[in-house]
Amino acid sequence: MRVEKQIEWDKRLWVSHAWGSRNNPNSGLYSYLCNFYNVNFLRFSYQGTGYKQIFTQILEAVNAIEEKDFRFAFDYILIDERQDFPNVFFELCEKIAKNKVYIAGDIFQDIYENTNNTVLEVDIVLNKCYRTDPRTLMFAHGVGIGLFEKKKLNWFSDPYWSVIGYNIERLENRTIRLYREPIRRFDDLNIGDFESVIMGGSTHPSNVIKIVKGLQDMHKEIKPDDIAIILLEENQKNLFSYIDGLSYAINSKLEWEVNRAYENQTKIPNTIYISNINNIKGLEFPFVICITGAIKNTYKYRNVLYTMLTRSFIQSYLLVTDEKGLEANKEGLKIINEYNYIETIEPTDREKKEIENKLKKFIQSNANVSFEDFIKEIFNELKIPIKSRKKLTEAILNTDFDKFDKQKTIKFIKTNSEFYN
Amino acid sequence: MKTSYQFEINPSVIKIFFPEERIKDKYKILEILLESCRYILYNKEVAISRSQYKMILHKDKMSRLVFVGENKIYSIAFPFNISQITSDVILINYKNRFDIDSQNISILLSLLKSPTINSEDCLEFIDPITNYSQNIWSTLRDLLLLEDGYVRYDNDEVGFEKAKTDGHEHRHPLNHIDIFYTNQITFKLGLKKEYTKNDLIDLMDRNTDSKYLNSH
Repeated sequence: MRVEKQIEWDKRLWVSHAWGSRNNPNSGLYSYLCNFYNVNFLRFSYQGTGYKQIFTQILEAVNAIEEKDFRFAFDYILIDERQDFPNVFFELCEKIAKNKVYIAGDIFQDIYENTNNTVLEVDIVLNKCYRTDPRTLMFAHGVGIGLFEKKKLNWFSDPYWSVIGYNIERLENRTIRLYREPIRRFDDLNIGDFESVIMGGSTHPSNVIKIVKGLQDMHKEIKPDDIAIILLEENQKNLFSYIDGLSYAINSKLEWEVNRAYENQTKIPNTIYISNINNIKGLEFPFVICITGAIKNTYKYRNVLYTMLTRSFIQSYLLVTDEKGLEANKEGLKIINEYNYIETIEPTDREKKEIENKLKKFIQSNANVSFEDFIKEIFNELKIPIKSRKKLTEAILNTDFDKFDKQKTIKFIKTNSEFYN
Repeated sequence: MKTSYQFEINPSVIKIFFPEERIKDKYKILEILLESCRYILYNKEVAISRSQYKMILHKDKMSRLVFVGENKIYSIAFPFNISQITSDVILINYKNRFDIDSQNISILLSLLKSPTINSEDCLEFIDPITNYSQNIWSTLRDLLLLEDGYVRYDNDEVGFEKAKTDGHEHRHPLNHIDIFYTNQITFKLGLKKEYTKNDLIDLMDRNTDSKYLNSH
């Protein structure tokens, strides 16, 4: 076949970020539109700027153009990662695209913020996950929203369960079984032979080494870059010392090189990938070892836990220091491994309402305010002197409740402010 | 006060301290410096090293790191303070105001390795730095402006033989010291015989007598 025509990049076809930089209109959609409709460009780093603000700014500018002067910026727009954008963005795209806007999103990306029924108003849903072993996905959903625990953090409607690929069986006493169709990504791998998620075990580096050695024994051809080790904690000081200790243990005991992904921000061949939660987006590995201090009850943490467990396409390990609350999850995992379904108790209508209200509050508070603004407002409300604010903020960031939980933040400040002068 | 620390370099990290590609800029030097600090913090010192690869920190009137390889020894500046708290615990800081610990090493390395450091737009360079405390910037700035003091000893048979075949063996003596690393600036000082790590340390040590060159 002969190529009749080369793609005219940046003349007829653009593939770009949503934002971009001021000096290069082709580096991002926003930057392009600023140039096209002559709007003042706002830099990403300016305090408080976000998608909502910049795309509203363009939309307002476009709306102000007289009809006879209006020009379409594009014929078609294709958008990926719809869950990352506010509605005004889609409104704008429809306005400036002459023919059609295609929008694609990932229904498996999060289990809290985009899980209501409006997400379902789409033309086509692809709900089979070919990356992750269905058992891993089931366990990740289970532990992610607390299906194995008494108190659930979220509950989906029947249509939503179905759209993310589950069949529901209702039994007595509100017991529910959730099934997924098995998918085999590798014909030569008999997945029934091994567990796709292994839970428990110490977080001590020596145990991590033991696990990797076990993998080496079982899969003779395994290479360092087949494995990712992910630390689920926020960037606390001891996280970095833990990783350094672990890295040198890997260097000396396994003689493997490590890639601290938060420094290199890229995959490096023939090295074992060690990362915090921020440098893992879009990646997948045959084996993933997730390490965490405790299974916390915050939405953000559970969502991270869910996402990280699903990064593997053969096996995920979950190592937790604090044994509290692990039993129920282990039991849930056992049932998945044995019977291939999630078994859980459906919350009562009242419980569902409670779950919904709590989550709604979280999503609202999280939506448009930066943490700095959120905390500043509370400090002002409580009349906390400026000089103690910095230390208090640091202390709040080290607590285990959700960053935007207003009630708990107020309680924390009230209880502790006298100690931070 | 202790003036010398010696560490064996584990085979799986040799590439970090002896990169396959020639050192050609200060980013690489700083990466090696910070990786060395991390190595010192987490690996046990050895009194007598049997390994061919080792790292020596000499901290006295002269403050330098020395890396000993198979046919190569090189040294760079060590601009930090170091104190041994117990036989297992070593602490490193910069000017007593900035801890060189795991977290700060990672932050500095991620800034140095980030493509934004080469951005044409200075604000893009600044942006990630503003995420951290003010001490990060002042330390990073000092490191970028650091006089890194790169000196290397080579016993390079291949290079020497090649130069000899080309008819100018004295442009690449078998044993030589390279001073600086940038192509247009670096130059060699030939040595009549092989050098050991102690010879090189002695050459640079300001507490011992200076060496003299013959003037031809």
